[in-house]
Amino acid sequence: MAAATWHDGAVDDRGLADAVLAGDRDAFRILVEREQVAVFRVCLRILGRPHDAEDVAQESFVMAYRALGTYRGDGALGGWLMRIATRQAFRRLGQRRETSELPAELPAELPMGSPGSDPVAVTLAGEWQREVRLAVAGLREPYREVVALRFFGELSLHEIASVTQRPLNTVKTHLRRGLERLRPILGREVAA
Amino acid sequence: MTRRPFQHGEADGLGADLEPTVADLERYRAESAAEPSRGFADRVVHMVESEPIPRRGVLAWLATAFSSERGRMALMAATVAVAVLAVLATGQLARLMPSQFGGTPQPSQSIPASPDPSLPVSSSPSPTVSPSPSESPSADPSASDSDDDSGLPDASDDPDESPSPTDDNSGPGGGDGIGGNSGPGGGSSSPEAGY
Repeated sequence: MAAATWHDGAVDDRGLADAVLAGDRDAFRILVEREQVAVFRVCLRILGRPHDAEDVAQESFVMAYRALGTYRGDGALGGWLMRIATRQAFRRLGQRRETSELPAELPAELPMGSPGSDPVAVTLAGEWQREVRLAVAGLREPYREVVALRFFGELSLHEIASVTQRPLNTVKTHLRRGLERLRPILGREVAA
Repeated sequence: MTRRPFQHGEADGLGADLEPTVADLERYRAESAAEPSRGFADRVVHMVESEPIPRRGVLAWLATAFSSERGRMALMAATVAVAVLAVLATGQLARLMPSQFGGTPQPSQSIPASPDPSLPVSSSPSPTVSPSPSESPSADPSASDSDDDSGLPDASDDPDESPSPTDDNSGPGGGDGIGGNSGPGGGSSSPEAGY
């Protein structure tokens, strides 16, 4: 029943999830096509490397598929997926740090900026992007999650509150504290 | 889903001093608006094709929790913890069981039978004590090789049986071991403590 309705485009996230749980692979494809850009971007913003971002985005979709039965439908499916992707990306970033912080990271980042043709500007832009990533990644939880979901995942604070099951005011407080902790690191070289 | 730039009024209490920080994050977000490579969705769907249909409820939670490497590590850690607890519990049982069925416990029961002091009056125990020394010489030849343990033979049997208890009591009984003979003592350590 649910599988027949989502094709109309008038079905909510719960209906889409139910269709997937009923074994409808096409419903899952709809979900992937709808959310792939957002999920990929949040991974890219955390990891900085397109290849890693795509890898983690794939993992996140597969993990979400396996865990879809735990989705309660009380928040947006995209937000739920975004939270999985954010966690996976930070986990991958931690693993990467444990192995080695590769200096080869910079060239892979360049396509994501707007470097122009000046190699110096390109290098500076890459350095700055890396600084932003590391600053956010260095935050403690729950500040890191809230900042990442808001600025990297582009979720509204209401959506973050729904996805994390925290009161809205708590989310606002976490965001403010996260930004306060980022202040000494970011916001210094806006002119660059 | 809302995809939109951050509005400063979204969060209450954000001071103007945080504006540059927000501006940096917004700039970073705007500059990283890339898209996945072509065929990304096909690859994901292809990966999922080999997966079983996801389950609902507790089964889904369990499957998710233990599907990741971290989940499996947690499961392994929990298993090891349960095994250690089981071993410890078994050790405690082993420590208690011999005290009820083994040789060591007898002394411990004989001590509580401390009514012995009251028995001396009956003097029946004293005759029983005197014969035992008379038997010890006869036992000497057989145990002559073990003269080293001359004082121990009596106890040596005990230790032979009591090792397990002493091991169980390893902490306390270790030192007492032989001298204390105390194996009995070892066994009786608790009674001693009781005193």
